[in-house]
Amino acid sequence: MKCRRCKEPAVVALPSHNSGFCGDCFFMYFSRQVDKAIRSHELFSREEPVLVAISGGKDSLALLLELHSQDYQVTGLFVDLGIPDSSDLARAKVEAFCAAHGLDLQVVETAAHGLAIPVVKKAVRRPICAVCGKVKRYYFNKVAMDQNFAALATGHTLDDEAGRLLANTLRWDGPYLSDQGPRLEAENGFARKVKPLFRLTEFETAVYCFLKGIDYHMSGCPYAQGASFPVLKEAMADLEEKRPGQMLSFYLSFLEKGKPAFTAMEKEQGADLAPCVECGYPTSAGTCGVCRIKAQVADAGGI
Amino acid sequence: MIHVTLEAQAEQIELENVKSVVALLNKLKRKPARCLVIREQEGGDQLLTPDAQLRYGDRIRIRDVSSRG
Ligand code: SF4
Ligand SMILES: [Zn+2]
Ligand SMILES: [Zn+2]
Repeated sequence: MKCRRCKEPAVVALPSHNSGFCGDCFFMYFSRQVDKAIRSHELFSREEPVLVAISGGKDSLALLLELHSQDYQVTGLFVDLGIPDSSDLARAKVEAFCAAHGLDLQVVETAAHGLAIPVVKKAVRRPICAVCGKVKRYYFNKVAMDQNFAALATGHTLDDEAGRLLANTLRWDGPYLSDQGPRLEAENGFARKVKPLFRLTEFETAVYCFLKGIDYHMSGCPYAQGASFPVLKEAMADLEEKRPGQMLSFYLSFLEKGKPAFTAMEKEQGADLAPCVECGYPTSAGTCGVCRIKAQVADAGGI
Repeated sequence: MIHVTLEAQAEQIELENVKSVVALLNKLKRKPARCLVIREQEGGDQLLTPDAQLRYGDRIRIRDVSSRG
């Protein structure tokens, strides 16, 4: 296979774009997709400071490096959850990566707030991943708000977004459908949330990381449970293989034709948010989810 | 014969009579868009497209893209 642009041997085949690229032309393609995503939805400008949520996985590291190389003002934020044999390994990779590329990085240790995930796991009855996700999102938002970042960027790819859209559509979940998209406005104490990789697949971020020599965190979390979401993500990937380009058109058509209706509906029916009485984080329940988790941990003798 | 490392399973296997990346992926029941196929070689590992031919003695790594992290 030859590169579509320069006719050198291709190293990556992209059936959805009916083409293949050599390494250099692939980087050009990747950068253009990110640029198009940012400009088409006005995610942020080069004058605005952007906080990038970093897990240590391929997508978030690729995002941080690519935005930096496009001269955006980015700072990475890694939330260290204190999970044995996982958080420390991911953190070491993130720190080495940021140091090697001269990238700004902040780290929040949830243990310092009484919320090391192993302690939380003992204190709460709900599945730990739901609780852990809540804690992570809380600190990503809190740092973005406290330090006046214009936006919080996450490494969600087209696979994540299309898979989630499929899940939300199967349930016709109005509130979730109204919130889905590459840009979610700042409101009620929430930072603007943006997803600059929404036009790129996981395969493409994996290729990017390989070609850039990014050593990302691959081993899973010891608490990972099989959730229904990856099943749908796989289903979407199967569909994409049979009909290349379907995943992007499903998502883009939703943004154009489906989302406005759900957004209008939620404006009328959505829950009212007010600052948490304990910490000021937006919530519809008086005390926010994270403060309630803290209380449960304290009751269980964790703090 | 080619040597294949499945990174996600930390497993190594050897296969006979596999002449192309497509044939290798079929044998391993993997889809081209769900994994990277990497040829180990001196001077830097190389990514292979599905149509690439494999050579006797090739050392190949399969890196699934959806491994969590
Ligand atoms: S697998 Fe679950 S517990 Fe582990 S980091 Fe992810 S959300 Fe948290
Ligand atoms: Zn080229
Ligand atoms: Zn609170």
